[in-house]
Amino acid sequence: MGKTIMIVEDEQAFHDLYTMMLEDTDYEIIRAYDGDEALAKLEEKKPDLIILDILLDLVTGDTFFLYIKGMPEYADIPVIVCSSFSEKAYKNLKEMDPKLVFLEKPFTKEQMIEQIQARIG
Amino acid sequence: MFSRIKLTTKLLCFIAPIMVVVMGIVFTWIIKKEERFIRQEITKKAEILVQQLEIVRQYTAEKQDIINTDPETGNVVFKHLNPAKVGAAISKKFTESTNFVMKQTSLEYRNPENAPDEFEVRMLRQFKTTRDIEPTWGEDVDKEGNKTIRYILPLYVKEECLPCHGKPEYEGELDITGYKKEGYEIGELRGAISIAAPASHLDALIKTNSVTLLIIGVVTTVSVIFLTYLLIRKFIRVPLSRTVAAAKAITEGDLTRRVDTRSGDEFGELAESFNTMAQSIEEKTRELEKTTHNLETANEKLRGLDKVKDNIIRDVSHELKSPLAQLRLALELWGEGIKDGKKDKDTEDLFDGIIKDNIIRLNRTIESILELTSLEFGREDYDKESLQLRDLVIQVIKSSTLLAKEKGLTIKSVLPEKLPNVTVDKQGITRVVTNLVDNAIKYTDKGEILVSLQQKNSGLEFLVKDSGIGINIPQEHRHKLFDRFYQENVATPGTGIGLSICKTILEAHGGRIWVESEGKDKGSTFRFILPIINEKESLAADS
Repeated sequence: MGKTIMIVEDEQAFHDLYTMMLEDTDYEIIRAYDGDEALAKLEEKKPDLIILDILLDLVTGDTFFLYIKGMPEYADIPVIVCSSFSEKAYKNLKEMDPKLVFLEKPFTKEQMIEQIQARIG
Repeated sequence: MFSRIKLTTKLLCFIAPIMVVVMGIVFTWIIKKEERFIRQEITKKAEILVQQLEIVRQYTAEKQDIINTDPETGNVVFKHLNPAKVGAAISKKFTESTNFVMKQTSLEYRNPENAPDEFEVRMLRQFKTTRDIEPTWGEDVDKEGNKTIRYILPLYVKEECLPCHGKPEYEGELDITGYKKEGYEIGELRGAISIAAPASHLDALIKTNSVTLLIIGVVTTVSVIFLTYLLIRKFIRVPLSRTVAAAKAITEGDLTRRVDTRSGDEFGELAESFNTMAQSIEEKTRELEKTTHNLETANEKLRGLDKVKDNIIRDVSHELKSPLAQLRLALELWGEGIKDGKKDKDTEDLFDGIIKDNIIRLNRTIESILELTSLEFGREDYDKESLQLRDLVIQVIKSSTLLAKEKGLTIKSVLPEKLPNVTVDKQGITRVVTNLVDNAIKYTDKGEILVSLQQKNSGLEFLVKDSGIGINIPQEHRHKLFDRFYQENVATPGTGIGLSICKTILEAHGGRIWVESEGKDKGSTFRFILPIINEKESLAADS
């Protein structure tokens, strides 16, 4: 069984596109539509990587990020933030986890795959 | 050091020594004056006594012929009543009956009782040299050591003295009394009448008076100091303390504090000046507070606007970048699929949907930005015409029904016929109604949406009521919903300008918009009212 990637994104279209992007790989995908749902799904299964959008309803991406980085059991999960904004807008997140990767929208499939492989192979 | 001492102490430090010095001077002066006065009294008495004795002696000298002539025989027989004898007898009697000592004395005395004492010798020698006819006086102590005042009158040889004491050529002859003549010339010093008046009572009197004066002095000094203290306290310290207390109170923030100004003296003037100053400070402070408050409010607004601006930029970039990202990925994946020869109907439909949706989404965002820009610069032109609002609303409901159905919502409408026409810009009001209906659909997940129209006095009221998420902000802040760029929740999609645009358009038509909601998850009701005016009036109003 391949590694697990959790995608936290509120737009269905992105989920569909990410799934298509990764369909040739053996990564298992867990979908979450907001931070709240993502937290619930974390408890069910700990993923190897999280692809995170920031502008989410209810529990926003940055809140979710800060929350998991504060939990010893999830703090080591690598995170790729996919956002309409550059890294500069989320300095506090980078301070919390220097290994955090930002992927500014719009990005290519190649960029995304490269980042995923760099983190979990 | 001295400047730190309290005013009362300071004044008392000045007044007390001055009082003591003044009282000392007065005291000494009075004692001296009294002493001199008593001495003068004694001297005066002595003078009178001496004068009396001198007169008696003179009289006796003048009457020697009569005294010593026997009236029957006419023979001269010495009767032992010459001036010296009479004077000595009177002096003796006087001395015995009073506490005065009176005697006749001479450096060349005949009677040993008249021998001069030390004081008399000194004075007689002085008279002999100076030939001073005035009496002189001095102080001495008697044998018992008591203080005495001495008074001495010189006696010079006169014509009537010569039979017994003169002339130089008869020196050594025996006179009628049996003594040898001294051989004096007229004007030579014969002797003196001397009086010793007791003065011991003088000291006692001075002592008594001094004690009395000292007591009076001490009492006066203490009274003056105490009175000064009381006066300072009443007229200076108390009013000054009040002013100081008021100044302190004002410094600590009680700007309404004032000083009692009833007193008409300098402190009253000070209090009045102080109150004027306090009043001015109070007014200035209030003005300053008001200005500060206004500035803070303005600053708060600016900060709010700044945040709004940041939110807008964030929302706009999200609204542009998200669809762009989806388009890019979709095209890339579609391209790959074509290259790999994959053909799947479902995948194609998915790409088709994503591409179309995102193009619409991008278009909408761009339109919003343009709309926002045009409203921002007031370039919106209204082309007004008289129309049935009902028709316009029905049109909007028709185009929104599909959207509602997708979410499983129903739109119920209550639109009476035969409502008066309104004169409006069709495009503008359509945008308002669409925005309100779309919002209702957007924020409602289940239930129904009610749209209604009704006449209210001289206006037409439009209403859209949903059973959606409601409004979770207090009544007093709800007007902010219609502010440009306001968003209740940062995560809410959209640019937050829709309601602001509605408000701008309605206000340009003389209408107004408001919202009602019972709170979160209890739905919202948006209403607007447009005035019913005919085309002529509207055109007149516009011109």
